[in-house]
Amino acid sequence: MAIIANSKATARGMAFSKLSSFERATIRQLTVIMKLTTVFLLAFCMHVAAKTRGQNITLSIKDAPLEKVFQEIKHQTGYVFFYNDKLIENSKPISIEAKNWPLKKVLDFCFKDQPLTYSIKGKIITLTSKQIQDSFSSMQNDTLPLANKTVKGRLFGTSNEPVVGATIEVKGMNKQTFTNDAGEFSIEGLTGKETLIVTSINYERTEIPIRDRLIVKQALKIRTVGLAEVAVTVSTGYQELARERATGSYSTPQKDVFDSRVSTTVLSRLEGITSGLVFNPPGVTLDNNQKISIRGRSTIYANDDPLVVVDNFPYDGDINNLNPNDIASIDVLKDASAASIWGSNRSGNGVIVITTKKGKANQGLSINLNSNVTVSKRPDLKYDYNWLSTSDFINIERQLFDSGFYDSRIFSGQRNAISPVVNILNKSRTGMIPEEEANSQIEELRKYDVRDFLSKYFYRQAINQQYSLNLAGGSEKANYYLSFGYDKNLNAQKENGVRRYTILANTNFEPIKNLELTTGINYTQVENSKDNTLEQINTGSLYTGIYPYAALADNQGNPLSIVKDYAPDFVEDAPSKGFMNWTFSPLEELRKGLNTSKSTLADTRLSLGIKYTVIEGLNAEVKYQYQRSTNQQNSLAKQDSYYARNLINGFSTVKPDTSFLSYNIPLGGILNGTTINSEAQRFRSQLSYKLNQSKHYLSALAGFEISEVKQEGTGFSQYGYDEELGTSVPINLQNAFPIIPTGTYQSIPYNYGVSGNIDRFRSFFGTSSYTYDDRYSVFGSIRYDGANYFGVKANQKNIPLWSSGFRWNVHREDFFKSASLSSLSLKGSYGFNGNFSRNLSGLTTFVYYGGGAPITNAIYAAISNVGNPELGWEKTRIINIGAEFSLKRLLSGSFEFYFKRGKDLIGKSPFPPSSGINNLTGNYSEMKGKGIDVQLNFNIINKIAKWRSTFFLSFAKDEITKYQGNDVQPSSLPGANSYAPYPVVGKPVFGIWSYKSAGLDPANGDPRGYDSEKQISTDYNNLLNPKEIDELRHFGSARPVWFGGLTNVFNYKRFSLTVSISYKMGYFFIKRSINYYSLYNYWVGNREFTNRWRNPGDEAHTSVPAQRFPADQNRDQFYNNSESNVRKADHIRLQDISLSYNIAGNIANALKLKEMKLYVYMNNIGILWRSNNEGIDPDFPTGGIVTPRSISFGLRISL
Amino acid sequence: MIKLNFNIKHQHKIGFLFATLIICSCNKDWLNEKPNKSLVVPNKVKDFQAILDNSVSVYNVNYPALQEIATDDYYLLDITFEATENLGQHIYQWKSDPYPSEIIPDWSEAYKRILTSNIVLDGIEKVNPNSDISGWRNVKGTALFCRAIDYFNLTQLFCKPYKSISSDSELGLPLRLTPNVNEQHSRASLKRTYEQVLHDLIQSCDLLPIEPKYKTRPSKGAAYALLCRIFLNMEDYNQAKLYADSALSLSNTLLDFNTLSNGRIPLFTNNPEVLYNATSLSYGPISPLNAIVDSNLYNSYDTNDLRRSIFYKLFNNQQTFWGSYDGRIIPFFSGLATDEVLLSRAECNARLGNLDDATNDLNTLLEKRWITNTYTPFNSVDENEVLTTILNERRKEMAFRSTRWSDLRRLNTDTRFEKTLTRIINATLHSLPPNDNRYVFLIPENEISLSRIQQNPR
Repeated sequence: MAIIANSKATARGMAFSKLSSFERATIRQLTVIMKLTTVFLLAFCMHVAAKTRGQNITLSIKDAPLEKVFQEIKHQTGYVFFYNDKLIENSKPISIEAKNWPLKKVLDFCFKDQPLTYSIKGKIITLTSKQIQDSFSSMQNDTLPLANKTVKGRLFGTSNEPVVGATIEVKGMNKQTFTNDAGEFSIEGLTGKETLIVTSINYERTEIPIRDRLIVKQALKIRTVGLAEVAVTVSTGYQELARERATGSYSTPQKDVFDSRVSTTVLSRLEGITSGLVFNPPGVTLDNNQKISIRGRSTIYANDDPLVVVDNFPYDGDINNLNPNDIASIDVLKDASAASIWGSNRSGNGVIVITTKKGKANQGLSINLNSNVTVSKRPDLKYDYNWLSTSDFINIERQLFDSGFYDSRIFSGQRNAISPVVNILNKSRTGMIPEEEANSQIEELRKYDVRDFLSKYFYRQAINQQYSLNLAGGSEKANYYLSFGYDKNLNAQKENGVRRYTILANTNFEPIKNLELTTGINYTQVENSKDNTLEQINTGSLYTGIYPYAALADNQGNPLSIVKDYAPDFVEDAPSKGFMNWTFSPLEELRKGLNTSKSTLADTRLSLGIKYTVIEGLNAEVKYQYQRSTNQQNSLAKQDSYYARNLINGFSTVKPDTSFLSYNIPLGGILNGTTINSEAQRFRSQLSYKLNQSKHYLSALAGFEISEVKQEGTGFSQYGYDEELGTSVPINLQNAFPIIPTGTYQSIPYNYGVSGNIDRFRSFFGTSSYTYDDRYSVFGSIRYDGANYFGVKANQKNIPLWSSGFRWNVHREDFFKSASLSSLSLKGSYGFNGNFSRNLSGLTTFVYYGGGAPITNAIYAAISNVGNPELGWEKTRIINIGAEFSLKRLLSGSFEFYFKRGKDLIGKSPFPPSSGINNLTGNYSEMKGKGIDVQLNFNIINKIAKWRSTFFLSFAKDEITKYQGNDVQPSSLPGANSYAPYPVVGKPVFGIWSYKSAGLDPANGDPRGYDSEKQISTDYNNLLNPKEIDELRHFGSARPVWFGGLTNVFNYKRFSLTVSISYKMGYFFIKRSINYYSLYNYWVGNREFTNRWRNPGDEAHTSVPAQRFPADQNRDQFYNNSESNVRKADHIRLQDISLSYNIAGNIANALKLKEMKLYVYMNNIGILWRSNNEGIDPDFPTGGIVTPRSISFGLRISL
Repeated sequence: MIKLNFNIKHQHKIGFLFATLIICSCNKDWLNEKPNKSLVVPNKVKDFQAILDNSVSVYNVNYPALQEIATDDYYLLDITFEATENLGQHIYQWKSDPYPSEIIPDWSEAYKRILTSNIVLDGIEKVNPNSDISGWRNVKGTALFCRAIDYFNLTQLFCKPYKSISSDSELGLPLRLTPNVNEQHSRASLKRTYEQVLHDLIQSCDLLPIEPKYKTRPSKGAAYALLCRIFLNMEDYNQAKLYADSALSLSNTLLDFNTLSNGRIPLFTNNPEVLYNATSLSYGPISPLNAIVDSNLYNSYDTNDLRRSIFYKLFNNQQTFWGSYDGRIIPFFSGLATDEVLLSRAECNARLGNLDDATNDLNTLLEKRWITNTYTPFNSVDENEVLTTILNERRKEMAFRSTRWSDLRRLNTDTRFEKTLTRIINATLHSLPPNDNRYVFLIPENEISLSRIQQNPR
């Protein structure tokens, strides 16, 4: 409610009073608004725009002061006047009779006889004195007397806009002043020989020698760091630092490229435009789902996610809940100097600081609307190379059938599933159908490919719609930012989709002098709906895959059932034995929506900040944030679903003749649910001090922080669920039942699960920096952390994490007169960042066993985790050395080198047996890393057409230097595509290992390796278990070592084109190949089958072993993990292209719009070059579904 | 250069601000909250009792057995020897080389129990005793008892026999008394080690109940019996006799072997003699299927002595041991029982010159072992004869009870009873002379390499 009061207080003018009623309605009916579609929003905005446009001025005033007229104009049009009070002291009273005059006519009339003139920019009318303007030329060459004189001046930017609020200092004197709203200033008591130093947030620091002039007119250059549009300050989440004084390593994604990208989520927009940041392959299973890493890996077993900070506090919860349209800035903190302020809270992995948009002081209402729609290609199911063609598959089935492979399955009492082909062959064998008919039936099946059915019936083009509306404004004392976002994504899988609603309200006001209140309200609701049928399309029973000729529909599109879990005759007989229908028809289930999941996440974040300026430069701040999120997920299998029927049938009790007797699971739906609630509270208080006195700049900060994050999860299952009544029937959870038809005993599945976590942190921190003459800066920070994860000793020890840094702006030195370089800065930092593992505890824990001990029947327990009282933080020492430079206006950039050394990393260490344990997980390991980050910004063309290009190059290499545990057996290393860490001293945390390969045996096509005596061998059991690690081949890292991007931005008139290319180099992957054992037993195919060795001589051009029956599991495993399947992963990707057209000019003017932009965006365009020639996307090395190409169309309107 | 002007009126505002935050930060327990719900931290008497009642994988099982492999109570056929595991072969041959395996469970399992006992002792001190006073006392007493029995057992394998004059300079054990696994310990002196054991035990006597709920828990009587065993081992016969008296005053019921159904030792729960049940590790050489009872030992049992048929069974035409006091065939009993206390008291009395008392105890026991009315009570005025008889009967009664090695070690120091052990393996004679360095086992290699404690001499 504070927003409304605030807004009302600050807003003036017609447009706003219209809007404030809108706002009131909004707040009252948040939920209603959330359901609004863009159509509504668009229409609404057009409505507002139209009203504003049509507003002419009607005035009837006699002899009134100018201010009175200004008020009226403001009231009627929303235009705001900026002027210096002194300016209108001499103005004459006004008399005007205007009836529906346009604004310009009114203004011209009013200023006709005044010593003033005006200019209009946006909704701002700036007044300037006619005198100063007129006198510029005439007085410029006047000489000054040596006496005290007043120098007046005006500062303006490249497009003649006034530079407001710039600081003007007189070099060598303790004199300073500021420019007014018109960019004007005046300084008294000068001789005319001085030099003025102009500094401003948005313009470059400029020195102006007065040279005896009385009036100084100076154009200022817009300040840029590099040539990209980069903020001049960076946020660490604790404070804002001036880039020019920053000693640390920060990378700031190019905001215009970030904004030009279209996505629902924030992180995905960072790829290729953020130095040092790399996305890990989305197509492989990673430990803890880690998506991005900054400057390589800094830990072995602890959490490797960078810390994400949103509006000053660590963000708990899914970062994808943030609306990217609300983001004002992102800064990535990479080294000790930048990140150590976050201490042990994962800062060793880097920190991503996100700041949401805020209103600005003295800004009229601005409204932004962004709307786009993204269409993705239907996913390519045929990319997955783990596939064998229907024809080959059927041939193999025939072959296996003839050799009796299926007999045990056909005749098993378990009633195992058998494929239709095997079923036909069996019927033919037993004489149930004649052989010719069997053959023709089988030939018929050769026509089908299940992927065609899946693609047609289960997939579609994904369509994502995004609408975002925000309003911002502010007066001197208060400002606000209010935004609504709505995303509707229809996923590539039919019936799957996401709706997201976001609301953000940031306000800031100064109720009394020196006291600033900041509030933030953020609400996100994400509704996910999902159909679970697709996951069930596999044959089950002994098979993980599905037979490739499974037909899901007939020619008319009517659903067909497939073989699932049981033998076909068993399924056929079921209804006659009194069971419910036991067939599985996926398409019918999808169409009827029989298996669906819904999840709703509601996340509320409230924050409050109070800042009090005790004395000039000294601020006391208190910040508090409360975050609560509830994620409720329910999946319902209706009674007609196969899942429910299968469970109900399977758990029923049968008569001695195996016909149905009674149910143990009640008829009805089956509802499984999980609820996760989390609540986070964070509190911070800090004192900050800033002093800016002549050549000295000092900044210091000290504070205290405390936080608690609680998470609780519960699960439940309901059987016999009636959707309409919401009722369910209790079931017998104690007993185990013999399952039909296998007879194994099982209990009724129940989604138990209670989990809970509490994280508590308590920290003290401080930083300070000092800069002399904008030339030399030094920085230091220190932080003490405590958490409830550790042993008593670690908490008592409170080892501080600290950092220090320096910076030297060489170009400010007098001796710096380089012809080519226009600026050069050197910087360095040293310090320690921290990390920890949530899976460990310093506490001793134990576990009770179910049932009593034998003989005594006493209740007994055992120690499950021996507490390690010395368990503590992981520490990463980072040394960073960097240089920033610019070469005229053509090129700018930075080079950074860093060296990391991880100490006290979590790992295992063997303990002497007298300690009572064999090994302990604790801070026993070490690793090192080094790397380079290079960013080069080229300003290739800077005329009417503009072309700038940014090139990123990063190198990141890690190596384990100490690991005592013996948990890595050489045999576990080959084929480790799972990306779990396998710590081997001297190697990277994630490496690609393989068995050495000696090619195929020319006699029989068997894969061969080398035994421990380096002799060629086919003793696979022996080959799979090497004794020494050097019997294996280590290829290198499984993660990119060299990576980066190239972004090109072209501007021509109103067109803007952005092309981003990203690349990853220096790493490897191990691809999947044919595994005959898996093929026969689980139906996992691979296209390499067609390249297999068939005849002697084939070994010259293939490494795929000959087909063998029966399959030798060891032979398959050896071949699949041998070096013949390792590939270089290097590739270059054309990530995206964005094209926009700014419909400014007539149309926008006519609509009274500040901006109206149309844009087209193409994403995931394709791979430009890859080092493997098999068409494998290294981001999806093991197959699966590749992210399809997408195209978006959008419109952005500002008014 | 840089001036900071703090107004008095501003100072109190900052003071207020920091006062709030310091109040928040002073609560010491705030960071002690357990981070994960599934972490169960033992903090109640019943939790610690449950840990001590783990007779499945921690307590009451896996007590040392290397010493039993090295005794003279049995031998192996060459063919059995060849088939047995390397460590068993190594010990059976009394080899002086390093062990063939790094890990020796006799050492590591004992220390695993010691750690568990230390965790319990540390944890129980943080529980308010008034919450369950008898439970609390039982937990603490049990943990002290268990720690003591483990340290004592380890001294019998890895330290020299105790001699009061030299114990101060002999190597004892790394004495770990806290749950902190990170602590580094060198070997304490043998004297210090025994002192710790006695200190723990005497403390536990006060705390333990007379009647434990299960025989897998120690009782007062068990603690007295253990003290008796230790003092006998230290050749302090007065103290040993006193503790034997104490133990027997609480329980002196003997099992009459004539009453045993189907000629089997009953399960320990039904054996009135068992004071504290514990079993040892299983090794190939001492398996009832492999170990052939030394014929001298077997033949020393009178045909009227029921132990001859109850302890031993003919297997593959050889006499093998099937009489574990635990009541199951394997593992072998290595706990405490009344028969041992009675024999220990007899020995003390014999050594102290109370021959009548000595023979009384011996006769009381043997009457329950022989077929009813066949046993002729033993009497002698020859101190040496009485002592020899008692020691022989001790060997017979306590065969395969993990104590023979200790007895050999202490008796070897007396020339009257010293014995050279011999074995013939594949036609080669192996012998172990009295007081040989090999009567002290080597400390496992991984212990030496990781904690750098001093190895025993060879």
